[in-house]
Amino acid sequence: MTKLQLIDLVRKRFNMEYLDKRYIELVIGRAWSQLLNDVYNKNVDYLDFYAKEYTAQTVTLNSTTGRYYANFPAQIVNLQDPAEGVRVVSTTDGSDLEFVPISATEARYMKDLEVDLIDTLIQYVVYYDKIEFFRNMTASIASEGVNMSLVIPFEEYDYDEKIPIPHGQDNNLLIMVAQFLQGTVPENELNN
Amino acid sequence: MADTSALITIKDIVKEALWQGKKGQTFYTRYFQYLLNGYRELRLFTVEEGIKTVRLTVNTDIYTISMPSDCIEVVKVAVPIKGELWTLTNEEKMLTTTTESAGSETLDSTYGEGEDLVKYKSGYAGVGGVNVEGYYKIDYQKRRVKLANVDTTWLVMQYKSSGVSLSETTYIPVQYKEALKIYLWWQDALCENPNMAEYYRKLYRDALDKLQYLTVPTAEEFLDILRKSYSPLPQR
Repeated sequence: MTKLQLIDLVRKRFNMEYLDKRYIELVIGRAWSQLLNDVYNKNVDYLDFYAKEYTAQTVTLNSTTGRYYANFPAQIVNLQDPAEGVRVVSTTDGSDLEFVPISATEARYMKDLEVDLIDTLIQYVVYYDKIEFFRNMTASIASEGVNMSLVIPFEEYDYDEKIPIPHGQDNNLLIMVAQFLQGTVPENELNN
Repeated sequence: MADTSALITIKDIVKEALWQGKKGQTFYTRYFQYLLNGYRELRLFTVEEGIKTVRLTVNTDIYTISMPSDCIEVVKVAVPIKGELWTLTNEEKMLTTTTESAGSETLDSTYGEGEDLVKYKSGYAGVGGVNVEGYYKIDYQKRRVKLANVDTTWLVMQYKSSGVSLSETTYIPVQYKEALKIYLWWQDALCENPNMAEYYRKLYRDALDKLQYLTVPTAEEFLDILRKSYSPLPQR
């Protein structure tokens, strides 16, 4: 089902065709993110199915902090995991470097531990708008950019893109949408 | 199809433990540190692989040899005599101080530094347990071995190594894999699921026992040990 079809379905199913599709889009977006969190909170690795790949993303050196970072090409879904909606980060040339998510607190604790000194491990910390690389990111890797697989919010999909709804959760999605729609001003009370 | 390899990288053990334990990528660094710790423990207390043998140059200014950076414990300081290693004699009474002169360490005989020890007596008054090639005392504080009565400019040291090369592609014997994976789950359980920790500890003990079976001498070696203890000479 495409994004537009899902929006139309909700508008018709709840007799809300009078509402702008962008409003419905935001409501479904809230429900969709909530559903992903609820279904996969025990093992976020299964969220790989919902990830979208963005290749050759620019990596820049912050001259103040001395750390490399890459801005997100799209928003990400927030999850109960240090990696948040970032499922995979890799080099563009397929080299064997391992990108591993950690929290900023962990980065502080791990500093100079043995594991921190392993030269083929690139740790990254996810912030709301970017990822920042700790240790072992080099100018040559940075110059090639990185690939990222991201779980993006519903709003980031194009209207003609297919939406991956978690298996067996169609009904729950509609129930959540109904809950989020509660309080919406009825058509006959709109001041238009 | 070829047989599987006798070696495995530490990175692959971490990955296998994560995959089998259904742990996500955020556990990767933590498991890696567990593995470095576990591998070190294994080498120190269970397997024999952790002992390294190196040739070291004697600092003839102060008669010391420096411990390699990965040395946890000195096992032996020795000289080679006809193809065999003969251990120097450990002498805990040896003076280990040095005198600083113009920014470098020297030995000052005024303070008794650098003097030969008079320990060995030949003839019927002599006692065993002494290697006349020299004496040593380990100075862990300064991470070196102090020597006395040594004429050679190099010595052989056997030591227990920390054993962890800081690379993901460090190869280790594949027979350690099961013990190390269980060690990772045990350490994880101690932090995440203490109820399971005792279960994993027992599994780990079993895995260590299996590793120790591999170090048991063969029947042939046992027989050789026995045969070495007697000769054709008549016993009185």
